[in-house]
Amino acid sequence: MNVALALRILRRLLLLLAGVLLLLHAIFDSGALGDPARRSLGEHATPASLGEWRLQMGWYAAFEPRAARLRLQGGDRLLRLGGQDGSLVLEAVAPEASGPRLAAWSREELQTRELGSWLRDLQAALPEGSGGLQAEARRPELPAAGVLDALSEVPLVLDPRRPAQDLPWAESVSSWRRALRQSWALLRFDLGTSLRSGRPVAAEIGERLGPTLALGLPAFLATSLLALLLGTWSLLRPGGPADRALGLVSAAGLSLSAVTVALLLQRLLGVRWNLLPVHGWEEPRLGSLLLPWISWLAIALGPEFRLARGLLARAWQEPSILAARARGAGRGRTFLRHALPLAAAPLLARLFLGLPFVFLGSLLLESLFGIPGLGAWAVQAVQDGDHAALRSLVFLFTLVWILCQTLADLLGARLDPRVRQALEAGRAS
Amino acid sequence: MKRAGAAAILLLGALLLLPWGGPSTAEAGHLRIALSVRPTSFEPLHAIYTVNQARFRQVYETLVEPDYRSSELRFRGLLAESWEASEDLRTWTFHLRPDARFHDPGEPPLWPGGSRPVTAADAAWCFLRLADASISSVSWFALEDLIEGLDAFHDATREGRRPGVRDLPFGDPGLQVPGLEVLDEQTLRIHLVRGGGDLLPRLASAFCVLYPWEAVARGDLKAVPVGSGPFQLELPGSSEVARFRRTPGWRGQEDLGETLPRIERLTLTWVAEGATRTGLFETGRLDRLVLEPDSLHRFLDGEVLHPRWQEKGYRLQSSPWPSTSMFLFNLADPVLGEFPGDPEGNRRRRALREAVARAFPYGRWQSIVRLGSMAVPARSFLPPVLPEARGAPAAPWRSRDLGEVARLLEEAGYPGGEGLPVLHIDLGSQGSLARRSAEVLRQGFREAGIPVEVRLHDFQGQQERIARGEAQIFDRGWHFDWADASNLLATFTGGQAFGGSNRANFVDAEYDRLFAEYLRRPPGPARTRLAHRMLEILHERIPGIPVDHSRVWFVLSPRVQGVAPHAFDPYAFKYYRLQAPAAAAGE
Repeated sequence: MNVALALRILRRLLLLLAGVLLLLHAIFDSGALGDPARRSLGEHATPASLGEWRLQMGWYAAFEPRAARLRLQGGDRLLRLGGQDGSLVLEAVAPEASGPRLAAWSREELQTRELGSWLRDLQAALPEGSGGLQAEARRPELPAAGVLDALSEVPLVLDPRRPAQDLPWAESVSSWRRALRQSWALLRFDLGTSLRSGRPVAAEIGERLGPTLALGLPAFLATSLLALLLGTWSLLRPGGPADRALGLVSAAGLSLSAVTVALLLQRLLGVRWNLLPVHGWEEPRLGSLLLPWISWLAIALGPEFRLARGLLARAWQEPSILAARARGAGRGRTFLRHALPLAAAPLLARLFLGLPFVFLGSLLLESLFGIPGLGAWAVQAVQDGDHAALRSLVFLFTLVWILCQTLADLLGARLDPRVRQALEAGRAS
Repeated sequence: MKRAGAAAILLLGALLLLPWGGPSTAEAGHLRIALSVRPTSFEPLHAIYTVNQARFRQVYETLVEPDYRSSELRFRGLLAESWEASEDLRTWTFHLRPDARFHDPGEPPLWPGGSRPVTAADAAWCFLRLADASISSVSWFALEDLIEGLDAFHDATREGRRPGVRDLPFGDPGLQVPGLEVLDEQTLRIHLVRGGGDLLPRLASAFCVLYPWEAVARGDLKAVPVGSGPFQLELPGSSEVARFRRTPGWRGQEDLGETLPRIERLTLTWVAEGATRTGLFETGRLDRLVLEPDSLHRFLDGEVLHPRWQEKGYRLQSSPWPSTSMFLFNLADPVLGEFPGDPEGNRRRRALREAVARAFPYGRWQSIVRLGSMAVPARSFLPPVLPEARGAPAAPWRSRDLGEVARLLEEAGYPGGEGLPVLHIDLGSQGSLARRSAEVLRQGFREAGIPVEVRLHDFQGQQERIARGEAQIFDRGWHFDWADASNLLATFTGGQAFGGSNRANFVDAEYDRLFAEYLRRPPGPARTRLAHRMLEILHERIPGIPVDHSRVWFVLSPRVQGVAPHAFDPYAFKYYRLQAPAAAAGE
């Protein structure tokens, strides 16, 4: 492969990736399609929960102690929490002028202090008649790793008169900065935390990718291979009983819905004849996978067979093939030496186009046969408005798709000079 | 090619012949149940999702539980050994069992030995957490308007004026409210804002389960439940499958001379498709099947189990569900409603509501929508499972009478239906059942000479229409959150009208007075009479039409013995008894 072609493919990859990252930002984070926090949490979400959502999704920057203020309930004074020279200082501030310093802690002190007791100390240090402290401290099990982390867990002001200002202690982050930050996180495969389960998205995807691939990959490859074999068989005996029978069966398969086929197989093989497990992800895994594999095959083989046969038939009609046959070359030899290489590029393109969808999982088969894969998980993420999960899924799917497309192009270019020429001219898809 | 094909077919045949399926491999003492909806978490605040309750009930416990042996809906102690109430039912003192302990399945466990005693302070803390608005507690309604100081605590946490329970350590004096008084390790006194005739049912509901604060602080309660119940989750669990084992060192519970639980292990599996659940049950991989429209006729012959299942030792159980399906009228609607200062108009509009009630196609609804046996026709708003429903006055207009409809239309000012505007019926679902319901309604009202338009919405859309006052007649299903008639009767009180749970916007001062009195009374004949009087008012004023109450059909595998499902505690699997393996050899 020449350098120009490699550069062309690389450029296309980078453009695609940048486009996807921008699109992800536009869909999930820009707010152009409405407030995603409200969409995710519902109309009745409290300001605090909206604020937490935005914090988690990177809409708000982490707390910086330079500007936080504690409000004294019922009093006319404010407290200011200042940070300088490694110390944190609490001051009572009259509206018009600075007041007395109430307490100061070193960072080390604060680090080792239980947040609950820190707040109680703070409460005790308040001026007489101030009426109490409006402060919340989550996670009483702190101390956290550092002062800033600890303080980032303290929503210092939740002023009831400003309910819409969900987390006033945090600073909002501009849209472009969010886009950069989140894109960078995705590129480092830092997929964030699932809003639904509170677990890292990467861990959840990791757990579910195995069952999804165990179901999809063998079934997909077997379907593709079988379709190719049957397509060849049918093509080499045109109009014969096998060709007619295969055409009839594939037409029947195409006209039946996938749900019907899967339910029918489940009923027959699982319930009536009791040959295979009906549902579940139990040991031995092979037993749990056989019925889903057979169902996949039964659902996908019809369309795949017709496609493979069509592509092979087109290659079979090429003038070079007709010329080879006219010179007396045997049918099988002509097919293997000449027709198959001609059809290889579109067949591979089809294979690599379908492969990324295997990674997304099959909602139908996973739900029906109880396989804890990504398909049902993705649907649940949509229902729950779990943006972190959805964004990660779309990103990973895109990566796999780009990878597969590139592989398809490279292999196609190697096998078929026409594809290579198209790529070099920048015309390929 | 031919050889390759033959080899492939042989391989597939050989794979199929291996004993992947075969007979069920149920272990002794292992109960296997399917859930039709995916559970969301073990967080006790998420008890509002009914499917979560199936898993909660195995791990978490409440102070009291419904006594399944009593037809009068009595309660017996669970974590509470005993209790007493003051004469006015405003002060309740609960004495906790000294042997009740929280058990942690986590590794490393929260406490040395993995357990610690359940104390009265834990109960107070859990009830406070239920009221903590800063963590968006959606189950707060279970204790709303009930315990002294708790509503103020809730309001304060909502407005950020006071730290919630997550922010201050357990037992912090700043977390106390006057209504939850911890007298000692085992004694909790609850002071109510009114007489608490409904306190025990509320405390027995899944909303009021107890759990330790340390499990919340650890931060993984959604996935690692820590309770005092008979079962413990085997880790790691998932939303698809939860495997429970008998809690090591559980205190035990006496029932009919035996010690609960009677089973060793329990698996609750989410199985999305009804056909798959049926298949699993038929192949002996589930021990209980809840019948659905798709599987109803496969197992039922009329209202008895089909003989071919009976012969195999399967058994049928039917349980009335504590729910009421009804159609409500929006009483703020100009065509159907009631308005102050217009007695003549109100009389005519009431006649129109009664005409609608008498024109409702009850019979067709039962046979087509409920398939004849999925529900019990309603006599009043209260389901038969409630003691107050026995001897309750029946709605006099709750039978189809087209002659009476014609008379009532004339009384309403629409003789022969002339001038009657098209009435709109909104249904809050869009599935095949909703389409079937819509067709039954259209046809039924057309025959009665009442023009209707039936509109289908998704649930959220329906709620929004009702909240905006745009719905005229609409369906409403009410599932009882706890075992007390007040749970539904409250939804007709004036305080809940125009934005609250009173979606009909029904206002009646006498009804409100009776309801307040009802809440103050202990269960008994006087309380029942009050409920009946309230029903009479509803029947007279017609804010809605009760249609039916759901009925659940269970088919039990031959392994399952001696279980009586309790309508308000259908997930108490600790009561299940499984046949010994030798006796279940036929399976």
